[in-house]
Amino acid sequence: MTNEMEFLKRRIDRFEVKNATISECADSLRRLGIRICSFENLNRNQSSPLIFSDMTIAQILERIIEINPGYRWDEPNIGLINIVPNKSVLDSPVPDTVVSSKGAWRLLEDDLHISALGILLFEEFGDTDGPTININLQNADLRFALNAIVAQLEPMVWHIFGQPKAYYLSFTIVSMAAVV
Amino acid sequence: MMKYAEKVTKPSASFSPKLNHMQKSLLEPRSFEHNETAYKTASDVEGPLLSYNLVNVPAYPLVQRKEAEDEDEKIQMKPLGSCHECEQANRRVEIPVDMLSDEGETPDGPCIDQPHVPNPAPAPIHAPAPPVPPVLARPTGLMQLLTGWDPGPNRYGFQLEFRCRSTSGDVQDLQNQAPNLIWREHVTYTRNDFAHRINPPNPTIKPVGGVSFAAASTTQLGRNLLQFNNATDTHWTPTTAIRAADFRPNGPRPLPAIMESRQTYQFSPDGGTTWTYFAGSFIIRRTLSGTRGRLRFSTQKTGVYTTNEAYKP
Repeated sequence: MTNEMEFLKRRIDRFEVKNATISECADSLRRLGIRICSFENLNRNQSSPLIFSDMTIAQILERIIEINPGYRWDEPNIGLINIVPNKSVLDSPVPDTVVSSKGAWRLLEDDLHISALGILLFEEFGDTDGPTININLQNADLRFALNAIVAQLEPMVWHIFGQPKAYYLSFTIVSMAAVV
Repeated sequence: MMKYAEKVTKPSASFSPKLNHMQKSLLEPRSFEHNETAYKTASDVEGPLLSYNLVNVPAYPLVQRKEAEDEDEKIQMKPLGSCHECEQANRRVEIPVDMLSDEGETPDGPCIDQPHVPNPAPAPIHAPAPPVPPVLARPTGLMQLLTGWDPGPNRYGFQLEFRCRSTSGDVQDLQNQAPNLIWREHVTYTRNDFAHRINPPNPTIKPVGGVSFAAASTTQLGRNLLQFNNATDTHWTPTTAIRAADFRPNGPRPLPAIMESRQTYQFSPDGGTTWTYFAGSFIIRRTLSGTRGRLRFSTQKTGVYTTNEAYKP
C-alpha cells in the first residue's frame, strides 16, 4: 500500500459541521490536522449539516462533494488535499516563473499577477512580503502554482473564497493534533 | 504525514479573586455605550491619526504577576506558625551568611537563631544534589503600536507593529534562544455577517515557522524592550467585501453587520513543537452601521485601537 493510499484510508472517528459549505468542511478537516486547500465560490452556499462517524478521509471527501455539486477533490501531493470547483479561475495559466528567495506574497502579486485574475491576497499578520520560497513554474496554472508554494511551506495551506472578480486568497497553518 | 501534533498550554484563570478581577478588566472590551465623548475620541479618524502613534498594551501580564506572587509567597512562608519569633527566625534563614558559624558551630547542627526550624530530612548518603534546570527567559508584555500605514480608498483598518519584554529583564536572553524560540498569531472567527463575500479560514494561524526572536529579525530598543522588525498585524478589510447593497434597505441583510475574531498570541520555546499562551485574546470587531447614505465602517481591536471610517463605495 502506498503512502497516498494509507493517508486517504485513515479513519476519522467523528466529523461534524453545521453548514456543509466547502469552506466550513475544509475548516473542520483542518482542525483534525488534515491539510486541505479549498476554493469556494460563496454564491453556492449549502445549509445542511453533516455528521459522519468512523469514516475514512476519502469517504468524507466524497460525501462533501456529493452535497456540493460542481466541486471535486484530489490529492496533488501526498497528504495535501484540494477541494475545488470543476472549473474556476484556478485553471487560469500563470506566467512561467523562476525565482529564488522571494517572499511568497510578493511572488503572487509581482510574478503570478493574481490581481489580474480578480484575486486579492487577504493576509493580516506576519511579514508583508510573505515567507521566502524558491519556485520554478513552466506551463503551470494557478492551482499548480499555489500547491507548489504551500509544498515549500508545510504545514501551510491555501484557501480562496468570494465571488467572481472579488476572490480573496488566504493562507493558514494546519496545526492541530494529528488524527490517530 | 500528520506529524505536526502540538500542545498549547494556557495559564489558569483561577489563581485568585484579585487576579481574576485584574484579568477580567484587561480582557473585557472597552465599552463606550454610556460615554459618547469617550467613544468619539477613541474612534474618530478624522483627527490626527499619527497622534495615536504609541499604543502600548501591557497585554495580559498574568503569568508574570503569578510568578511575582509565588516569589512573595516563598519569602513569607510560615511553616511553623506566625508568631513574631518564628518570623524573625525564618527571616534569618534567608540570610546567606550565618555569622555564628565562625564561632565554631557544627555546620549541620541546629543554630541558636533557628529555634523553630525543624531539622531537614536526612539526605541519602552519597546522593548527589538534583540538577536545577535552567530557567529560560520568556517573552512577556506584548506591546502593539500603530504604524503610519494608510488604508487608502480600497481598504478599511489600521496596522500594528509589535514589541515585547523578557521575564529575565534582558531581551538578549530571548534573542539568544533563536531559532528555537518563536511566536505566532492564532485567530478564531466567532461571527461573520459578511461571510457571503469574505470568509477566511477558521482558525487562521500564522506565520509558518513562527516569528523569530533572532537578532537579525529584531531590534533591541532597550535592555528589556525588543522590537520585531518584520511582523505587523494589518487589521484591514477590502472595500469590495463590504457592499451597502447587501444590507437594508437595498438588500436583505440587517445592520449593524459585524465580523468578529479573537486574536491570541503564542510562543514556542522548541521551534513549534509546543505552544504557550503569550497575550490576548484581543477581539477584532469590524462593524458596518448607520443609515442609508450615512454608513460607517469601524475596525476595533479591543483595548488597542479603533478606527471609524465613512463608507467607501
